[in-house]
Parts: sequence; C-alpha cells; structure tokens
Amino acid sequence: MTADAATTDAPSGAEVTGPPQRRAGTSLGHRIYHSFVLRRLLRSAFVIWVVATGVFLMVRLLPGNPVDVYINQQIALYGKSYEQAAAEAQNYFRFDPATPMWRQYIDYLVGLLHGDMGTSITTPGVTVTEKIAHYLPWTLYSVGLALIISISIGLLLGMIMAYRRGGIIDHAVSIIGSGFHAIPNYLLAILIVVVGAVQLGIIDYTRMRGNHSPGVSPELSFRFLSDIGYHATLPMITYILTTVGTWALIMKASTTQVLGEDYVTVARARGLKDARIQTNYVGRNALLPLIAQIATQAGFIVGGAIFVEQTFSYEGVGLLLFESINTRDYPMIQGVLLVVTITVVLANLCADLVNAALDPRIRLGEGGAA
Amino acid sequence: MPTTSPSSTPADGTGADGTSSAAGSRAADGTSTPVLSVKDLEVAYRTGKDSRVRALRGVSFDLHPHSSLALVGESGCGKTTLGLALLRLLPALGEITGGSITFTGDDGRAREVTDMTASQLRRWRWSEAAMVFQGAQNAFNPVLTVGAQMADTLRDHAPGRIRRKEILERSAEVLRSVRLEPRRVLGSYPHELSGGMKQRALIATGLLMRPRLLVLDEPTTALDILTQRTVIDLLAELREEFGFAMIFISHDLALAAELADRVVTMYAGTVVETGSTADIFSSPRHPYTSKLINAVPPVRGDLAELASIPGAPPSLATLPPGCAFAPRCELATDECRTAEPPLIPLTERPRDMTHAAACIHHDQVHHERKVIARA
Repeated sequence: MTADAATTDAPSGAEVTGPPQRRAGTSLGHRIYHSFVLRRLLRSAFVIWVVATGVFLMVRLLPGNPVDVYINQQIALYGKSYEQAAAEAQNYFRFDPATPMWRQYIDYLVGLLHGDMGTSITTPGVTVTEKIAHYLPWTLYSVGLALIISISIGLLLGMIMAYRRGGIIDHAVSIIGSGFHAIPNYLLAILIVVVGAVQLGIIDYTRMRGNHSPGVSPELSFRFLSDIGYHATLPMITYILTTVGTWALIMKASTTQVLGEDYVTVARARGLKDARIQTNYVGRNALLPLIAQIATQAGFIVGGAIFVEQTFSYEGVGLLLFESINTRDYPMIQGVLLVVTITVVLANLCADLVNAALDPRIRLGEGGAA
Repeated sequence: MPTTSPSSTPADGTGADGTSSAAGSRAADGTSTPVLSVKDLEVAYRTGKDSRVRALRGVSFDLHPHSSLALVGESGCGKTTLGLALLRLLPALGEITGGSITFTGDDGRAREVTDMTASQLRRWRWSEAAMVFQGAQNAFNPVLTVGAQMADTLRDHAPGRIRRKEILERSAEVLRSVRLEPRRVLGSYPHELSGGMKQRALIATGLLMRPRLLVLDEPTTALDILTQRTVIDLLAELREEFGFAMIFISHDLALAAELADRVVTMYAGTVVETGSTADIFSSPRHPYTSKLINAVPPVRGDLAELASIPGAPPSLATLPPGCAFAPRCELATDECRTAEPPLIPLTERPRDMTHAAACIHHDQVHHERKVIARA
C-alpha cells in the first residue's frame, strides 16, 4: 500500500483524501489531464477567447466610431449640417459610443456565450448571425470550390513534376506558377478587369459581376446553378491562378523528398505495381506534411478575399467585412473575424485528427489517453 | 578469366539443378548452371551534361545455386552499385553501359536482366531475386503496418487474386522462420519494432516469394554486435532452409569469412581478386586483399599488428592509367603504372572457385596467416 501511495502522482491527486480513493482520483485526474482531445479543445477555446478579445479592442482602436463615420458621411454626401446629421444619427442608431468599454466587452462576451454575436449597428434590427448567414454561402461556394480545384490540380502537377524532374511540365509550372504566386490576387483581379474586360473586351464584365443575374432566385435548378457558376468564374479563376502554382511547388518538393526515401527503392525492388507505389508509398507520405498547410486555408474559405470580392462585386464575406470596416460596424467586424477564427481553429483540429489517421507515428503520441 | 567455369554445359546443368534438393548441394559436382552470370558489367553515373563516371568496370562473376558469394571492399569501391545494378535498381543518374547479367530461374530458362522490360522486371524482382538493403531502418513504409506491406508484395506477385488467409499464412511462415512472432509483427508499424526486428522482418519479406537469389547489402551494419550475431546465424540457417543463392555485400571481412563460400574483392569499380573463402583468407594474392585482411582485428595476438591501408581509393573520375591500386601499393613498379593488369588465374578449382588475382606481382604478396573470426 505504501509503495502504491508513493508511486501515485501527487499534484493531480491532491484534492482527494484517503489512500484508496486517492488512487482512483489520480487516475481519473490523470486521464482528464492527459486526454488529447480534451486538452486540444481547451486550448482551442482559449485561442478563440484571445482572438475575440483582441479583435474587440482593435476594432475600437480604429479612428472614429460608427456614429461619427455616419455623421461625416451625411455631411460629405448630402451636404447636411452637423447638427442635422447628428440628430438623424441619434434616431437611426441604437448604439451609444459613450457606453464604457468594459460594459461593451462584458455584454459582448455574455452574448457570445449565448451564441449571440449582437446586432449590426448600421442596419438596425438585423443580427450579425443573419447577415453572415446571408453572405457566407457565396464565399464558401466560390472560394471553397476554387481551392478544391486548385489543390487537386496543384498536388497532381506537383507529383508529375517530381516524377519528371527537369521535364517540360516541371520547368513550365515552376516558372508560371511562381510568377502567378508573386502576383497578389487583388492585382490579378484588377488585371482581369482592365485587360480582359476593358482593353480586349473579351470578358463581359458588366454581366459577370455580382453573385447571380437579376431575377434568378436560389433554387435547385440547372438555371440557377449555371448562373451562379457563371458569376463565380472570375473570382474563382483569380483564386486558382494565384494558388495553384504554390501547391504544385510544395507538392513537388515533398514528393521529391519521399522519392529519395529507402522504402520507395525497396518497394520498387519488391516488384510492387507502379500504381501502388505512387499512391500508398509515395503519395500518402508526400501528402502528410501538406495537411496542416491545407487546413490553414480554411480561414480563407470563410473569410473570403476582401479586394477580389470587391473588384468583382461578389457579395461574399470579404465584401461584408470591407463594408463593416468602412462603417465601423463593430459587432459585424467582430462577428466575421470570430467566424474566421473559429473555422481556422476547427480546421487545425481536423488536420490533427486526419494526420493521426494517416500517420501511425502521431497516433502513438496519444496512446496514453486510452 | 575466372568466369570460364565448367558451367558451359547447360544441358546436364539444368537437369542436375532441377532435381537438387535445397540443402547441402553446394559442394556438388560443378555441373550446375549458374543462377546468375555477370559478364563484363559496366555501370556509369552521369555527373554532368556530357561527363560520366565509370562506377563499375568490367565486372564478371558467376553465382551457382545454393552458393554464397561475398563482395568485399572499401566504401566507394562499387559494391552497392553492383548490388543495385543486379536488380536494375540504379538511381536515375546511374546506367548500365555494357556487359550482361544473365539470370537462370528454376525452370532452367536463362533470361537477360539488362534486356527486361519494365513489367518483366517488376515481376522478376522479388519473386526470383530479392534484395535486403543496407540500413533496414527506413526500408519499410512508415505509414503501413509490416503485415500490410508483406501483403502488398504477395498481392502484386500473385497471378490472380489471393485470399487473405493465404497472405496471412505465408507471411506468418516467413516471420516464424526469422524467429519473429507473427501475431505481434504483422500488426505493427515499422517504428514500433526495434532495429534488429526490422532487419529480420525485412529478410522475412525477402523470403516471402522464395526467391532463387538473395542480395544482401551490408545487412548487419546498423546493428549492435549481439544482434549482428543473431542475424548472421539466422542467414546461415535460412540458406539451408530456403536454398537460395546469396550475394553478400560487406566491408566486414570476418562476416564474409563466416558466411560465404567465395569472396570477390572489389577495388575502384573492378574485381581485383576472386577465389574460395579458404584460398582468399589463407593466401591472398592481391596486395589489396592482403591489406584488407590485415586491417581486421585478430582474435589472438597484438592489436598493434592492425594495419590500416595508407591513402584513399582513387576518384573514379580520374583513375590512374595502370593498376588503380598502384598509388597505395608498396609492390608497385613502373609496369604496374602503365597498364591495368587482367585477372590472372592462379589455382584451378571446380565450380568457379578458381583463385585469380589482378596483380602482376601476385607471387610477391606474402601474407602472414592469422586467425580471424568474429568476436
């Protein structure tokens, strides 16, 4: 008994008294402490809180507040007097900039715990959740699909490049890919509009802008689907062109490294079929280091690309964020950034789980939890 | 030429070989067809657009069924290149530029390895010629279990579909023969096994298809001395049990002395001496072999006798005109530096055991006989 008591871990068993219970308490405490999933969840919650707080503070560091911005706009746009505009603002807004910061913060956190991200300041009566729910599907669709295409093509190209190092595809993709990678996506978007639509006139920009053509309503029909595909073409081309080369180059490096591994030579020596070697031996190992990088792209999928969406008047989350910042719509900005944060955190969690599923060496690390 | 062995009677050779039992036939009559016959093999590595380095220069030897041959030499002498070339596994920059590798299977049909197409090669590898690589630590795919990798091997060599039960039985059988517990090892990932276990699992994988030829490249290098012992004993036993011919690549002469019937010494990409293990170790006739043997710690006697070989092997890109070993040899004369000596047959023995050395001063090589064995 004494030997047992000596070997049990003191810190986690401290809250329980008496040697027999103490042992059970230790193992339970231990198990909670060592639980991989639980620890990851706690850490995720902490990260979300830190980001939420940071965003809350930084948003309020922006010069001006929603009311000031509104008043200035009214003066500049409609030539109203300050008093007149201020009186209008008073009627229009339910937001009082004089509320102490800590009060706003407490309200914000309490709201968040109830799953309530607040109400938009500039469009009273519309909740942040409603607004995001309205804009998010468009970004999910355009960026998500573009990324899937970009990653699939990129990984495939990367593997081909690695197998045929020094070949035509290798050289071409390396040069073109890194060239496009060096161009920011908003610049490419502007180039498409200026060169493709204005100068060459091969793109019907006025018809392609926006999410869908007027009069087309969301429904599960070919007409609607082809219409949104048509309107998403330009942003998607922008996203794909600016990212596909990067994926190809990363995959090439990873595959090249795996191709040099002993187990690939041994697999060839074992007379395995090429298809098996390329998928189970090379592909799977080359993909492992890329999973985390793919996960970080999740933030992009829900956050959208502010300037690209603006250039193409594509009403996605990026455009929503852009407008919210312009009007200092604090709850809106907080809401969008929070959704992005949560998505990135969750995606990383998923990446860990996928990694563990694909790589037994990682699985071993959590063996203590079982 | 040492390769002018009595093997030139293929008719009765095939017959005798087809009926020979697995064990104990290596001391046989000398009429069998060699499993592997390498003739004037040349391998070059591309080093630039138009520049090449000759890594193997006219290597020839025969390997008879159930016999074992040790390839010895310093690092960089072309041993591993030879091993890889035999299975056509040279890296992308390496290329067989001449010579032939003839493999004769159980059916007695001779096939030219250098002429095989990719798919012929794939089917031939492992089912008839397997290779155990240097450093087994990385020989298994880290994301698949050992069992899954053995199953892959069986599946890709099976003529049709193969049943799970058969896969398990055959995998378990070879694992048991390398004294591993199948139930434990089959479900394990490579990182869950120790170095020695991995090495044995790799040997077991090599035996899976019951190949006629097993090439082992430094199979014990990464192992500690006790594990080495286990692996060596195991190899000797497995050879009796499975009856494969073995090429054993090693810089460890003591190991060669223990496992091989025949020794081939390589230097700067070419064979400098060949002969039976007994001949080579009792009276080496090439100064390089003699010095290699002297560099092995003796079991008895003074450690001070240990002699290293001064200098380093020549760069294969800038070989001296004559004997490649001349710059490091105290017997070297002007004659050595002008022309590269051919292999000179010294003692005729049956079954390709002829002792031959590529040294014009072979009669001046005096070797102090000493006992070498593994600790």
